Amino acid sequence: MEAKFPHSDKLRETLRGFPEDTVTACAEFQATGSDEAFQRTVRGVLVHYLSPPPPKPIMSYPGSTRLVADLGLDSITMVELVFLFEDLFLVKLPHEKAIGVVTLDDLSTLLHESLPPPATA
Amino acid sequence: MNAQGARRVGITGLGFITSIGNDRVAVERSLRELRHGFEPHVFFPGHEVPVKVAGTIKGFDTRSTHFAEWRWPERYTLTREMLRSLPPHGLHAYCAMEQLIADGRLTADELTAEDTGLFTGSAGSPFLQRHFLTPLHDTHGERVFPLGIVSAVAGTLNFNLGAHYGIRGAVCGFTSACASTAHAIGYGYDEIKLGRLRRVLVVGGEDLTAETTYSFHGMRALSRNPDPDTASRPFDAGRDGFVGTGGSVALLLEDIEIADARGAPVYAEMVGWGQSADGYNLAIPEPTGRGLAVAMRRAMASAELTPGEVDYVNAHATSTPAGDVAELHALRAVFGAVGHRPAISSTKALTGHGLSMASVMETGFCALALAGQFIPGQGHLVNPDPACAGLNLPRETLNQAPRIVLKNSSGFGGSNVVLVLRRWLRSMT
Repeated sequence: MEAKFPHSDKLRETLRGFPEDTVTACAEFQATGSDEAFQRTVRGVLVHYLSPPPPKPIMSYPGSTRLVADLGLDSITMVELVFLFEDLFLVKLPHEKAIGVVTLDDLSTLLHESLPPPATA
Repeated sequence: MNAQGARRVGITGLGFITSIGNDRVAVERSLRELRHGFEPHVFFPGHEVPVKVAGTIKGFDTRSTHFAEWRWPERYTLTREMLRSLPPHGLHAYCAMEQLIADGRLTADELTAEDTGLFTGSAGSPFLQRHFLTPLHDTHGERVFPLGIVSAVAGTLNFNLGAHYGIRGAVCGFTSACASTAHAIGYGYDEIKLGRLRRVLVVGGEDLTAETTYSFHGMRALSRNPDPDTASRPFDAGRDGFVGTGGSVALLLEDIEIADARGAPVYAEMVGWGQSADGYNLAIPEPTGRGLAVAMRRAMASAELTPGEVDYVNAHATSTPAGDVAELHALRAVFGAVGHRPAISSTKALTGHGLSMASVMETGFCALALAGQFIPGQGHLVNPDPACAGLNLPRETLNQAPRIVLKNSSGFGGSNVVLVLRRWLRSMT
């Protein structure tokens, strides 16, 4: 079946080894700019990097969930995540801002702020 | 302990991911049947390259710099958490370790005990180093993959395996090039004999990549022979260099008394080792084999054995013109002087040269030979080098049970290491 939102080669390459759901969510975000698809993308990437995976579905966690204290992310993995998000969203996440990320909401905010504004007609 | 109260050290577990087999049974069959593991193989397809054969690892695909594209046999389970910091040979090492743990019947408690150590040998991964250092240059230091260093430098096996398996006794890497894992085994033996550790896991591994292999072409050390059946032919007059291989081998050294008590297999006893240095050249062996002969004599002295008691020598011989003949001179000096003719063969005729991994791989082969009561023949020997005169290089595998085996290893910088193994007989305790 043809994907509703086409997956570019670049997207496939950046998300090598990721679950198909996350690739699809990112393709949808790229096509529509949907905030819901954005959240599924960010959290899908995050959960792929967590070991062990969180006990509940990642989308059920509140935005105040702490990446290190609650989800067990370590500092090295945080750097991996930053590089992945930079490649995925074609943005630059300044180190000074990235080290200030504590919660899921902080991460979303940093990424949102870094993304280019949506194109207007 | 023996009657004098000295600890005895055995080889009590093995794991193999090699060009001639990916488990103990397959490897032993290849050794008995002198079946090689070479294939036509080029690292730059579509281009004319001077080196056309390699000792490939079957059932794995690690050509990509990204682990998400690697493939391995289904029986092994690896998570992203583990894979993200592994070089290609780290994947092989993990698989070899899993075999060793099962073969040696090691429990999680025994693995993580404070008297279990891990000694390794690996040149690291120039393949991944190149991949990770390119963006460093492109971004002037801004963007460096955080796990690049631990996946690519020479200690990568001890970092990764030590952390993954929770090793608490000791973790150490050895870097004496092609003698690395012989040093690891030698010093592991000492740790057990001295009572500091009860068991030492020795793991060697190497990538099979253009970066690891073709670098030796720069020295003109590789065979240019395109025929997999004859490219690697140690001691043959027609040899023209070695054939590269990769993979990983894991070997468990253990206090035999403890291994026996927990029902582990004992493939062989290690009874001594010796080393020396050529003091001659950074890459070329001393032509008369003087240094290697010193190491052989020291090894036998440490085991309280004489040359006349040796049944088999697993030679270092890689199939290079200079290296093989130097080793032949050393063998003649040690054994010719007492008129003894032990069987001699280099199993690199079958596997290719595994560099840092070679010693632990070939020590594993010797353990199989001692336990299985056979002596691997000299594969691919058609026209022996004139320097072989007077030495005993059987061209077929012998169904003879060796009692004492020497394992020779030499590496860059003139390192020579010789390990001594003895057939393990329960009645000898």
